[in-house]
Amino acid sequence: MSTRTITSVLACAVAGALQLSQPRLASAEPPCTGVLDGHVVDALTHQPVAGATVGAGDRAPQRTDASGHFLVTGLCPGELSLTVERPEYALDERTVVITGATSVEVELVHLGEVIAIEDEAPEPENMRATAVVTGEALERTRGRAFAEAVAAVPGVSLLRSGSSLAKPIIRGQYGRRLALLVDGVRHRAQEWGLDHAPEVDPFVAGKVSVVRGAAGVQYGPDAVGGALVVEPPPLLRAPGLTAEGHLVGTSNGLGGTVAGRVRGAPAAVPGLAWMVEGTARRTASPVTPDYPLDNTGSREWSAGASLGYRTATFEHRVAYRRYQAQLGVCRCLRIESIDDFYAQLDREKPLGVEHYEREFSIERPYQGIAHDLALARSQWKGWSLGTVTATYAFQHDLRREYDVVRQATTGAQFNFRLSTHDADLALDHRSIHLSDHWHLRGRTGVVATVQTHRYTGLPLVPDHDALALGAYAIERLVGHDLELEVGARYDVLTRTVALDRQDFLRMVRSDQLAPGACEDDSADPVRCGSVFHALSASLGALARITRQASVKLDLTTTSRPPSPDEQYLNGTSPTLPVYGLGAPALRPETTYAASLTGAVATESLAAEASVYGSRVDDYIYFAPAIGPDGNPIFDVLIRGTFPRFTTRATDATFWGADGGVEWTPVRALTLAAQASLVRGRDEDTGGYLAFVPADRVRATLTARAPDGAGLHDTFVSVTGTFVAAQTRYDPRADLAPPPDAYFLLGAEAGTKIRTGDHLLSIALSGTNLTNARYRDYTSLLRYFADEPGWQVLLRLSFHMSPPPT
Amino acid sequence: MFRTSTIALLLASSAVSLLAACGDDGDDHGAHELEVITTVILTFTPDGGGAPIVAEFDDPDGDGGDPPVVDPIRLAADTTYAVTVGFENRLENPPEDIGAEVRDEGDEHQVFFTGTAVDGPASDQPAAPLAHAYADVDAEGLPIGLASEVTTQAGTGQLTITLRHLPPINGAATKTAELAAQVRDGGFAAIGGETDAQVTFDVTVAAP
Repeated sequence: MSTRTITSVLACAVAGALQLSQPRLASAEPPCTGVLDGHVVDALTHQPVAGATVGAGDRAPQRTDASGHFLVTGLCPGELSLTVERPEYALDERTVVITGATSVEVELVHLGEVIAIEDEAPEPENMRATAVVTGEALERTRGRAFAEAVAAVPGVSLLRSGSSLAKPIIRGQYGRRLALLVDGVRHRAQEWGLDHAPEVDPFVAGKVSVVRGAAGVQYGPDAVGGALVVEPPPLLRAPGLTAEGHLVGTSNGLGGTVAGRVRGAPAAVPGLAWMVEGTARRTASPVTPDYPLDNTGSREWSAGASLGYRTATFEHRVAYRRYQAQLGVCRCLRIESIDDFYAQLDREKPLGVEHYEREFSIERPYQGIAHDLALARSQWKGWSLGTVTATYAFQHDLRREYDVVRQATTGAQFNFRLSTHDADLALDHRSIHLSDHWHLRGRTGVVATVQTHRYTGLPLVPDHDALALGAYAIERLVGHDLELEVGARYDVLTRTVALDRQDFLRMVRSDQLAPGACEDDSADPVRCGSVFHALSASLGALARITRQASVKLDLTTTSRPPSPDEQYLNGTSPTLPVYGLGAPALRPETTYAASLTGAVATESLAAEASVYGSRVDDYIYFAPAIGPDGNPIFDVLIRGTFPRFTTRATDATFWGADGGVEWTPVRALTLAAQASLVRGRDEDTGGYLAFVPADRVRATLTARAPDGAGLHDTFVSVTGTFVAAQTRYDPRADLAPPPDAYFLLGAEAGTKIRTGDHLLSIALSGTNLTNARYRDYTSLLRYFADEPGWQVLLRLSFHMSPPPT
Repeated sequence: MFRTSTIALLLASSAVSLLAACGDDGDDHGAHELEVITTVILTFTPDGGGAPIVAEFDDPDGDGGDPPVVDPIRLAADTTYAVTVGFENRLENPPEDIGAEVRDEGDEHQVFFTGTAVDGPASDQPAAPLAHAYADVDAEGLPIGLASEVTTQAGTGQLTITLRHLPPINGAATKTAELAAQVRDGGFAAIGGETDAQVTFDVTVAAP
């Protein structure tokens, strides 16, 4: 390899010297319309090399993009000298003969260790519409809850509950149909509950990727709606110390957040690196334009540490994180009886609102949550076949929910304890060089999960034990302007629930379970087993039409086994005044999804738009039970009469479009706009599906001031968000009609001050500045009270010796 | 190399055992925490003596499963009865007496008598077969409703017994003297608090 390079360097140098003086002499040359389309890769690994400096003839140097591409236009036929250089690589000089459209692949030879290259090789571009929130964009969300940090991505909206936290909705899918990965590990918690926000501290993230659309092969069979991938900032590669601190204050709910992270790598022990981080957050109840949302304060803290050790061929890391929260639930929720609930709907304000306070103290009802994640990961890069990564993670999720009870009662009414061991082994094989322009890269892996769930409390969900095994392979053919990806995955899940005999008999009596459905129905508890097989497959294509424009197409099918609550739910819901019954005999639901994404990126314009559609066979849906007479079924319980909701399989269709555009006509001004649209239909009844977000658009105008007076990146922005009323709903599938459309105005101003190695950034932002009274269709609060009014947030972020980016 | 992997593994496993050690703080397994009520018991004792008449709303397997069993109430006309309302959780053995807890926290609870069979503080139907009056008070001098008195006249109708939990909001009492009148005028939607039990009986009052 290196001999060849040296020879070509010599040849090019001579040829280049000859060529330099030639073009301008000739007067009768053909028109100069030639194009050189180049592709720079690492000579050994065939990974693209981004950020390499390309010199072509006497043109101004340019840099390769994230996929290693560059483009030179307006070339005259003939020879062109080309230089490609990047630190840590040997300079590549060559002469290219231009005849019309010419393409070239440049293989750069690395000077140092192999591992350094792979660290810098970018992840392959996801075939689905993917938005990455990182750097400045992520910093601007500091101080907000996790779901709100990704809410600015087109296609994402929020499912709010009666507490201060929300869960994200991606293209109409949420909870058990989204995969959340933290530090490469699937987050395991009680994501099925409408009021269970993800137990993740947003400060953990150095980068959040939002994958919109079914991604079962990559992330597991329940990534039906997409995935949220939270990656902490990397450990330091070179000896040093870096620290960051954030201080955020909010006016509504009144409170603040303090967060810090220190990363270090001692010079005395090369290869060793560590990180320690922590966050504490406390807020009082927020206030709507007219009254406080009593008892919606929050207390959260999280802490984590990570330790890594690298050698030439190995990389090991251990990490531990704990997140703990106490979240008050609005006193305005009236879910104890359906009559009280309906009566509340007719009220302008909650009953007893004159006693509501914007307080810090948290009383019943509230949720107490603790989530622990411990992980160990080892990577071996010394194998000729590729890189092997092994990960083991243990997660413990404890959730307690405290109802309003008589004083004599002190404990929680719902106690969920979920312990999960995850292990996975993956091989990223070395890029296989098929030709100068075609390489094959890919990943193969196996995963195993062992899970136990222990529940005590009011009748709701049973204990269960589960074992899941999976195997997958994804291969990508990477060409010059075209990439093709094919993936397949198989998962098997065995689940055994242990039903208290009393609950088992109750389920038999309510016709949920056939008497012989479980092994030994005279035992206590009665054990009922299920085995599910799930197959996922995907086919993706990415075409770079020009250097500025690309198109992606993804076809995916994913089968998702029912979750334990969908099978065995039995009790009045802690979030809505309904009596819910699961269906133990449910089979996996199968999604067939297609997504087409187009993107344009020029110096002044960046735009991305997607259209998508999916058909879900046996879509598992929780909806009102309808009797043989066509009327809803009600159950007489001791607390009155409750509407019965059941989980059942139907066929569903989802489709929609989302996208955004960002236009920077001059450096001082950026205009950004985005829109999201999603539709969901129940094909069996012809009705609309519940909780599908309403159409929304958002526009932001940002003005930037020139740097000076010690300040830089100074900006002011104004944002308007319009959310339409949801007109596509099925009145039988919901307890109340959707609320009206609303418009929210926001603004933000910020600047940065750099002193030596330190960076201080200050931002002041306001939301709902017109103090609009509104309710949102996908907020559980909408049945009871308005959303919070105007809020001001002040953020100070301090970065000490930021690592070079 | 092996040494590093071993250390990594040790660190991970010690973290795991740490978790296991600190996880078990204060889980409440006692059914007492759940405040389940399976049974409402009405006992009518005639003023002039005689055998008490007992009617139950009983859902022994709790929510779901078998539907609840409701006894009809048959009373003699032109009689005054002392009425007690009892609440039990029969999922426990022996059954848990929830009524005693309600009495202990009488200033946060009230039992209401409503329905077509009732005329009284919470129901304005002068021709109804039962004329209801509260016969007990809490520490604040407000009625609880565990003990009442009804005077009968011939007729039929429905009697709904509602146990309302009325915890204070930020220290302000929500149990007030006007509650029964508010229920009479505007139903339960007009008052705060939460329904702990709400059951309906068929009532027949006939000449003895």
